[in-house]
Amino acid sequence: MSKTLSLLIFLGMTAFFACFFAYPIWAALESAFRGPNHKFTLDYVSEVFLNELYREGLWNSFIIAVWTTLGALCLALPLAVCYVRFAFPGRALLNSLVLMPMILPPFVGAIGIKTMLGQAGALNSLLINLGLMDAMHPTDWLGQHRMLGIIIMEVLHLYPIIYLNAAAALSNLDPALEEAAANMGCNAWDRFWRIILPLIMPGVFAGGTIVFVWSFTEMGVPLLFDYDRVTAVQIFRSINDLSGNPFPYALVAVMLVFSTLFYLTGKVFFGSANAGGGGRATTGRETIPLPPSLGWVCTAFFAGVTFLAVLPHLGVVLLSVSKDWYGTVIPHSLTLQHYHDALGHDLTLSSIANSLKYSTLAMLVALVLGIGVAYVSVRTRIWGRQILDAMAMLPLAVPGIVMAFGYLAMTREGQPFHWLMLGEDPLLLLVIAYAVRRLPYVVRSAAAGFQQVSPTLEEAAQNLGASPEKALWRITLPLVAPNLVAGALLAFSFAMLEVSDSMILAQQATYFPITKAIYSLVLALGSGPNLASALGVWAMIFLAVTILGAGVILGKKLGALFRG
Amino acid sequence: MNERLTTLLQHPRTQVVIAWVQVWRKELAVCLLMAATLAGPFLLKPAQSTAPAHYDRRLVIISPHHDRIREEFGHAFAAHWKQQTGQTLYLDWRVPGGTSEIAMLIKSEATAAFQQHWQSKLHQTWSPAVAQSCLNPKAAPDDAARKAYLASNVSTGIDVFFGGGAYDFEQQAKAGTLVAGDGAKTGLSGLAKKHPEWFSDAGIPEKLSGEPFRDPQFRWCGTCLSSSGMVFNRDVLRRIGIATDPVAWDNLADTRYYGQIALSDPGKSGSVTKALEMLIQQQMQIAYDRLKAVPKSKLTPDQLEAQAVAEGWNEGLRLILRISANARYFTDFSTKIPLEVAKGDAAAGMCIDFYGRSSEEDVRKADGTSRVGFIAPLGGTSISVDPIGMLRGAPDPELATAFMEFVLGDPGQKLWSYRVGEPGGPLHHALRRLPVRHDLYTPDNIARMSDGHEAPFEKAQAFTYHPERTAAVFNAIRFIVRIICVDSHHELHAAWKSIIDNGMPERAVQVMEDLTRVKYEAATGNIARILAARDKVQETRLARELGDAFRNQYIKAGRMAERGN
Repeated sequence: MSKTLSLLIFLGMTAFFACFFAYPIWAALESAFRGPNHKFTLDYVSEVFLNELYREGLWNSFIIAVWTTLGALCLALPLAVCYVRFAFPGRALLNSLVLMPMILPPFVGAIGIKTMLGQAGALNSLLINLGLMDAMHPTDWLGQHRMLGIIIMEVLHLYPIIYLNAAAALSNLDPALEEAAANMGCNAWDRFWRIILPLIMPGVFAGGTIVFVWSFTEMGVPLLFDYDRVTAVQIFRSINDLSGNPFPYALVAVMLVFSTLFYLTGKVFFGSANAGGGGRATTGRETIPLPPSLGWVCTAFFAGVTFLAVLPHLGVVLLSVSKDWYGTVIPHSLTLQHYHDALGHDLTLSSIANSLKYSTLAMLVALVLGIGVAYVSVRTRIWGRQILDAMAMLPLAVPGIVMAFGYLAMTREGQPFHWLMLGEDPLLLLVIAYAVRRLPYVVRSAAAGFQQVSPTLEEAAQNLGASPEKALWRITLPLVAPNLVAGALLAFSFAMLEVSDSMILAQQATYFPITKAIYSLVLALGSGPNLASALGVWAMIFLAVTILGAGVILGKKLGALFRG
Repeated sequence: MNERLTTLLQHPRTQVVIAWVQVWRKELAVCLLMAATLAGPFLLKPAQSTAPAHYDRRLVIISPHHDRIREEFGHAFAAHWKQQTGQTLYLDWRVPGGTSEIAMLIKSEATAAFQQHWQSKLHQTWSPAVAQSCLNPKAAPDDAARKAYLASNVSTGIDVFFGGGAYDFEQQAKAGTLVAGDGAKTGLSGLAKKHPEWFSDAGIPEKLSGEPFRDPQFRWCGTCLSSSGMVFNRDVLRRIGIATDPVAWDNLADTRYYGQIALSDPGKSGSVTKALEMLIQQQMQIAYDRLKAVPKSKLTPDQLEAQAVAEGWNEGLRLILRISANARYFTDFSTKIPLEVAKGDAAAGMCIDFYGRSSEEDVRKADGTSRVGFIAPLGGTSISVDPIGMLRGAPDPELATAFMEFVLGDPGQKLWSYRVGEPGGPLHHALRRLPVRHDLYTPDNIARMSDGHEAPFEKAQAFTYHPERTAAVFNAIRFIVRIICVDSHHELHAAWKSIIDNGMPERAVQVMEDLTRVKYEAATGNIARILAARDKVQETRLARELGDAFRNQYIKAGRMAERGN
């Protein structure tokens, strides 16, 4: 690629980031620090810390994040070790099922879980049927243990991220190191603690940090549990009076500072702790076949965790076909009416069309940006390319709700970017928001592609007379296409499932994306949760078809993409 | 036949297609699957959408009504209009949330539109003072901005405001965002000329038992009736040892309901605020009757009224506090209350009548019994209306008027009240509301209504609504309940548990229920003043101070109860 073009790409990327990443964050934060006389003030932020409710909200968010991360680690690490080290029945199938929990926004899963955990829900009915609970005194799981419910939901939703990271790190590990340790007389347990764990730490913590920040800022699940002592929900509940109320912005500022801190801590302490001996495996790794009994234990463990993780989905599926699921383990009268009503609802078709439109455009934008950033940072020596790369990864650290707020603030009447609203249509805004939020996935997969394809191929083409652009277009891009498709697909699926931006930026029914349509269906009188579940199941099927279909076409494991 | 098929199959072009299919079979299979998934919603899409791709005219309606109402009215009116004029309508429903969100949205849209008008048409400078006074009914009568606003036709881009409470409509009418029309063709004033019988005591009275039913200046008018009440689940009631259905508000304060009451945040929902106001009004009336019965009272009628109001306020808040202490938690939407009750997650909850009745119908068994029931406590609730009104600068006033005529006319009134399948009734779901027009309660009509036997106009006699008693505190109710009940629910709930577990020690109960900080004088004084000033910084500070004080109070009460006093 010619130097001018690289420079142009670099400048273009920087301008885009300045406008649609740095500026919205600034726009969101500005209101938090601007007093009545347009002077800088810390009053609002200090009010946040003075207010016990907000303090407790922050603390609870933190606790939820800590436990979610720990829970996800405890589930994911043993699974990853089992998968990489041992051969057991159903290994390949179970590994591909790990992605299952990711194809449904957790707040939809929460509808299923809430129905199952209700006082007259499936769990209590099961316990009563088994004689483990007094029918007259059922436990009110949701009324009394909402925080626990939120943590469990988030663990089950997010553990695949750590699993995929850990599995990738483990399979990249050089088995020779272990063999050497074994030769020196180190037993299996010590080998795990002293050799393997330190070496896979960067991978594990990369995933861990994503999970931590994600759960710290998660809004959908606590909202569905009606748990309002969590910062994200407090922000969401106060956006309705944006007019002149600086406190939501102050809360956003505080949340941003904390999540950036957590992200940086993760990066500084664990991300670069690349203990010597990394790099590629020098010898092939062979999975150890386990004796049948132990093998089945592995299978059962894997299957059990996956079952738990898809339990909310099962709840959603059952709820979507049940007439009145009340006081029984599984609903006893089934109907397809909810599908008829939900898919035939006024909101549905337009929201599906909107979501497809927003997500496809966002995917294209993210793809173009992602290729640009990855190319500049991998193939060029321009000053500041690392900064660009780091910037492209930052959206992982910035809560969706902060960005959404920023976009809202920068497109208000009289602001320089007001034209982005296209009158009332949030199309451009949502496309940009989705694209920026999902950019890290595309950048990572594109960068991986560029790293794997040797630049000598391009150079050869140039020697044979191709211009640098043509060489890129005809040689490199086709070679990295699988990576790009995989990254784009991920960006697309996540954009379809995006909650924060959708909730805040799409204010009119005509422009609702599917997630917001599901959320507003929950509230419909009477069969609301059933309708929402039916639409949720549809979204699940659509995404499963998309992801599995792409997997079939590409013949690649998509898991490689979640490595943060 | 077979030969032809074979030749066809062996034709080079067919071979090419077959080879192509074989090469791309995976991709084709995936594409087919995706197409199949996408086909579902396309095949099931509503036959007559109220949001067609091509339309002749658009009516923008802002409404807190739930989707069943929007669906039934949308389809019926679009069909009605199509039949009358042949035009295809696009009913653009704007549903930003509850009534408080709507008020916020109308205010910000109207202010923004007026700013445009003020700067570019009137060439004046925009200032915060202008922004403050243009929509302020209390602005000086000669205030230039206020006068300019009232004289203008600045548009919010919305035609009709449909649904909510009379209070919200009165506020909008006072602010000047609702208009009566030209008195001839458009607006409610135009309808009053066309159908004078609707706007009479035989049709829609101006007031019933103290509740305003329509604006004498025709800026808004009630469209259907509503009352507040309690929805309950009989299974859960029996389980927690309550043998009879609740009949009065104070039943919900019973300690057996601990953790079994579904409530929602009054800050988010007008209907919940209304229910709480009813509860307070009832206590005020009880206090009034009690004070009046005192022989040889030295109080003048004014003093008696004032004392009754203050005592009733305290007693009402105390009751709300106990009910909140019993609450499982506060949801953000009032529609969740009947859902949770029906699901068995709560024994009872406060909600508006048709939510309760619809939920009863949704889980009704084949034999006609239902685990869910609804009751409007006699003497504990007024009958109020859900109004409609045209907004200033409505983009299509003619269509807006036609819609209001439809809603107030026989077709709309039947849609509210008839059972599914009755001629003129709703298509999919009974809306379970009662007509606002008294003249429609004929035996023939009542037989077709879901709830005609409720005789609302007669029942309304049991309760007289005194708007003047709670007018000054209506906003304060939302604020105070949010602070002392919703935001502090965790502590309140825990304290109440300790108190119940320790045999209700009197002093702990007193500490928990100490309402000095929000007594009537404070609610109408300091608190009302800060709320009226709309200064978010001060408001948040007040909320923090009150909240801290109450939370500490609850924690203290809980500790006292554990120590046994």
